[in-house]
Amino acid sequence: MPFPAYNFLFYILVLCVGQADAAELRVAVASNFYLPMQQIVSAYEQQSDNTIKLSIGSSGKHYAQLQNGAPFDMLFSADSNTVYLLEQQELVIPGTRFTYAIGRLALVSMERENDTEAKLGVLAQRAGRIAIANPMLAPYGRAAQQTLQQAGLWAQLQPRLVIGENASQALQFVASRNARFGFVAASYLSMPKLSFAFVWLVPDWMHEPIVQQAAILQDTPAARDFAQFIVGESGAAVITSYGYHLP
Amino acid sequence: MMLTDFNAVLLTLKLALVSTLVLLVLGTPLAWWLARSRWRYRFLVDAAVALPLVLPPTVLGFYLLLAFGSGGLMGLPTLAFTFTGLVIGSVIYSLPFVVQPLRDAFVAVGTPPLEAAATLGATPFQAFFSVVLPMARPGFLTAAVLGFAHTMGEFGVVLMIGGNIPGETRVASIAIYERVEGLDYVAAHELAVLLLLLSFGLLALVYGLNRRARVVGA
Amino acid sequence: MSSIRVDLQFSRQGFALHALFEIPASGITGVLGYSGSGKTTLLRAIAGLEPRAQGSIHIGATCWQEGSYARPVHQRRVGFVFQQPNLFPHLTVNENLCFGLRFRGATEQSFALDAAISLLGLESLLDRSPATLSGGEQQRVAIARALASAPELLLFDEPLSALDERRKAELLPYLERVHRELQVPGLYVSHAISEVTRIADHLLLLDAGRIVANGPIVDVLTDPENSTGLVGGDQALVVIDVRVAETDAVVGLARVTAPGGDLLIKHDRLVVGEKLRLQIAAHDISVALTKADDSSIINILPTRIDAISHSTCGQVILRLVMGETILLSCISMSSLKRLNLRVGDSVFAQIKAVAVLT
Repeated sequence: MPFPAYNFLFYILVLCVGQADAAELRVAVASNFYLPMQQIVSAYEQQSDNTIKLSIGSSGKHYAQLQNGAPFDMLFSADSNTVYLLEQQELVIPGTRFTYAIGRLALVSMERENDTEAKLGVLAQRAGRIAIANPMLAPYGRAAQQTLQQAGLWAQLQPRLVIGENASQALQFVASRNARFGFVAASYLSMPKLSFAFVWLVPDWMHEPIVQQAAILQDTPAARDFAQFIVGESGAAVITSYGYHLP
Repeated sequence: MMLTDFNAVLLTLKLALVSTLVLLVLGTPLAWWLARSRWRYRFLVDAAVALPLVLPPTVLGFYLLLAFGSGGLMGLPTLAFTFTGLVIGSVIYSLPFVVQPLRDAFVAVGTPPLEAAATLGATPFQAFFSVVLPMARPGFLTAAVLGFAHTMGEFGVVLMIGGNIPGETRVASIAIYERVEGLDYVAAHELAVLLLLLSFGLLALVYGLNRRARVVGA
Repeated sequence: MSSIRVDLQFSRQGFALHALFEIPASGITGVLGYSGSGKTTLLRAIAGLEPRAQGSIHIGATCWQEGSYARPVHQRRVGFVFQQPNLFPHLTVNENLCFGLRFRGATEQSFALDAAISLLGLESLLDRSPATLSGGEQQRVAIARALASAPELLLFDEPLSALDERRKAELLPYLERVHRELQVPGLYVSHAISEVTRIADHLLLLDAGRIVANGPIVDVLTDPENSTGLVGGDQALVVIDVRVAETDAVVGLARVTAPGGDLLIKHDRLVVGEKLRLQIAAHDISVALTKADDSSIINILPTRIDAISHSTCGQVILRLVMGETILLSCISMSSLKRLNLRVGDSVFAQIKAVAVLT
């Protein structure tokens, strides 16, 4: 990193100068974090003059857009890989990459299971499609694959899988009753107008941790301020309320 | 290029071919009716046929997803994630591209040739096949080409209801998208170029044939 | 002899047709009428192309329509010649001609096909595409196509109206040939008397959707009732069917015999024994009480006034009888008074000009 000292001085200056005029932050956020992010943003805007504009999408899409000059100030990815790659390409402000949440996976269905103790085994017992996010592209899809592999069900269930573009689409397939089961981000369980008849939270040990990282792309006081807020108390409270683990 | 990607191209061609054939079979009587009917509310049908032109593909895909899924409530297996489901989506999506050129071609044929054929002893059915179809041939070519090309490029609908199943619903447009998402730009380029060349070659072929046909039948 | 009986009603906004007539099922019947009188509608209704037309149509013993029964168009053995040639652009001339063969059984057809080709002189055009033909040629093909389907009834809907004068003149001889050589009855619709007089044996007058005259052509043309209408006034004329008795190439004249008298006409490659149709306009016949020997007019014939009827604009039409031949003379009211002409008087008809139609 060239001239880290200058960066440091700059930051001090900015902090000394204090809050500049109210700024607008453009934030790209992964679809699975959208709901908690909305809540965080409204809490933030109540105690700051800054406003936040959210852009929801898949990490891959955001990556491609950022490579081509998309004007985001911050990125909240669903994984750590995307941010890492961006950092390699010097599209990220050095030293601003941080983990904001650890994701949790849930198995859901719109159809009831009579057995209240039902767990992963239901997949083998019942017929019907199983929706997962694309393991090649989405961390929640990867986690779903790892879970099934861990349980020794991957080979058996593969023909029944349907691949969603991301965790959100896997959810759509289940919610529209086209897939009987789906592996989705646990945050979706808190969605207001949706309720699943069957829910099973996947234990963390069954898959690699879903480390969700964020980074600042345009260094502004507003971005710094918002980042602080996220990792602070109020941010943490919202994150955990949506079923994520804290880093 | 990976085999799965090449298969995606083959699947795209298969989907386009099947959808176009279905559309020509279903679209011809519809276009004929639209060309000949004097029903005062025919304009409503015209508008309905034109609807997929303005509808975002994702809207169509969304409603298909709901429709297919609600079949599940009744115990019917869903059509989502199946090739048949994609064909249904493609047929709706490309409907105006096939029906409108056909309708226009039938209108251009007009009534006099049909009256002449009738006075010469042809039943309406025979007149259709021996007079209308040959005279409307350029329209059929246009309809087939447009329907085919439009389905080749279909993405939004397939994205919503496809489920990305190799050999079944993983068409080229989805595969390209997946490669882009997975940051494998080289593979994305290969796939995109292949698709582009195939589409262009096909269009050039059909328009070339049509050109000669137009001269002969003029 | 069998006949064609038609009783059809048809109404549309602002127009009503009620045609009731019976005509012989042989020869060509002309249908004369102004534009908008319903001639085309009548023809189309007989062919079955106007589904809203109601009534009855009987062709000889065959019923095409009666009450709620209407035979569909493709089952009526009708040969329709439209105003526009309406050839199928994707077929050659020959294929156009053979079109009807597929649907109506080949045997009697092939005879009709050959006859049609030779009658209309299409031998050299058979492999051409319709787009490469002139308007007159296309219409000839259209006529031949209608004939080739061996119809029971021919319907001509103003087939010459889309052609210029030269093409019309080209085509009329073919129509006459058709009339002469075929046994198929036909209806020929037109607004021009000159076309109808050449080929019709029988004549219907249509006015504002009603048949106002029906009879052999000579009768209709000379009927005093019709002196002010379609075939009256300035249009008044007669046709006379004659035979060539002798020719004189030196003088350039030929003598022809009509039922009732002889006439002298210009000799233009005429053959003794040949049958001709002559047309004489009423304006071209004047009358005199005495026969003038010092006139340049060649044909001065003794006739008797059979009827006097009013024409337009201060003129009258005299119906003159010479044996079985009828002549019409149009003279002014003042001349009528001056010569004190009455029905029954004998006068000499002075014929100034004679048109030979065939």
